[in-house]
Amino acid sequence: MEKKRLGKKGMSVVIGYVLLVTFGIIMGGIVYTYLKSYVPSEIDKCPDGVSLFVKDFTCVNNQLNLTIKNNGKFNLQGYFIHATNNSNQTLATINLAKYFNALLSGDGVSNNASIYFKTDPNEDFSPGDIANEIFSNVPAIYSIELTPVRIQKIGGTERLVSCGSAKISEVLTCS
Amino acid sequence: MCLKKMNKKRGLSPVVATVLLISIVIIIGLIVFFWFKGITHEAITKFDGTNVKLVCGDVSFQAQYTDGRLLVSNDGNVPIYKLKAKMEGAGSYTTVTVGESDSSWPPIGLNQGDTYNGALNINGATKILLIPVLAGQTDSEGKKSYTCDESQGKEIVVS
Repeated sequence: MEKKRLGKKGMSVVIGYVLLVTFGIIMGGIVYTYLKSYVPSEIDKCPDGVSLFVKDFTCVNNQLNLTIKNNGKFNLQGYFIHATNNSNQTLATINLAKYFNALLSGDGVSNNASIYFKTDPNEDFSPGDIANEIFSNVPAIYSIELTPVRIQKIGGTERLVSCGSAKISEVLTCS
Repeated sequence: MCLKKMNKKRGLSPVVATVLLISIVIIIGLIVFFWFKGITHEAITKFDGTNVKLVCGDVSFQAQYTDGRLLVSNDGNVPIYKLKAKMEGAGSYTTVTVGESDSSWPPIGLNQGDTYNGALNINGATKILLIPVLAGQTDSEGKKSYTCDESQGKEIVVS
């Protein structure tokens, strides 16, 4: 009789385990919810081998003609183009994308923020490709800056990535 | 026999004791939960749920101050919602939001590749620290801005 009473004291072993596992899961859930935002996700970053090269340019009568070559190792989709209007300015802020002349250029399209090399923005501008880009009614400019952009698959979705580390500058002499 | 019966009836019944125990545990749990929630703040996230504090480290921009104008170029892939300019002069500093006084800053901020060129009155300051402000999301309050740490800002020395 005494033995039977002792055996019934406290919680049963099974309930003890169930409680322990439940608390463990709840604590795990709380910690996960709190810390999940601190896990770094894949960042939008261009590969190191991205490069654009201004092969040739003319700047006459407010028309800017650029011959741009992809001399990098990766496909590109387009570029941001900005200009300065005096030599004191080291950072180009005049957006030239709105002066892009798709008709004269033959290929490419502008969305007023960036310029795509091909009329179909998803089409690649492959390594070694050369494009002739024409900008009309361009205001007085001193230099230009080009930042390549490419579409990259990040986390299953395609995103336009700006390659700030591959930005190039060119001082122009316009007449 | 009578003594034995009295002993058995002393104190709370096991059911009442269990109910009390569970109630106290729940109440203490709630108190700890709300206290902890108050001191931790809700995380502001951006993109795919990444904490905005981490995203601040990915902000990349260039800036120049020339002829009374501040020039900024967003070279990275993180949109800069606003910029705070902490201007340090002789023994004092003031902080202003760039472009707020003349509404020249784009309302949606500087996206990828965007640039800004606007007047900034520095009142004789010798240094300008530009601190990015990012827009993020919270579960309870929706869109919320977050000012990055000063160490993630960009310093311009005014000559």
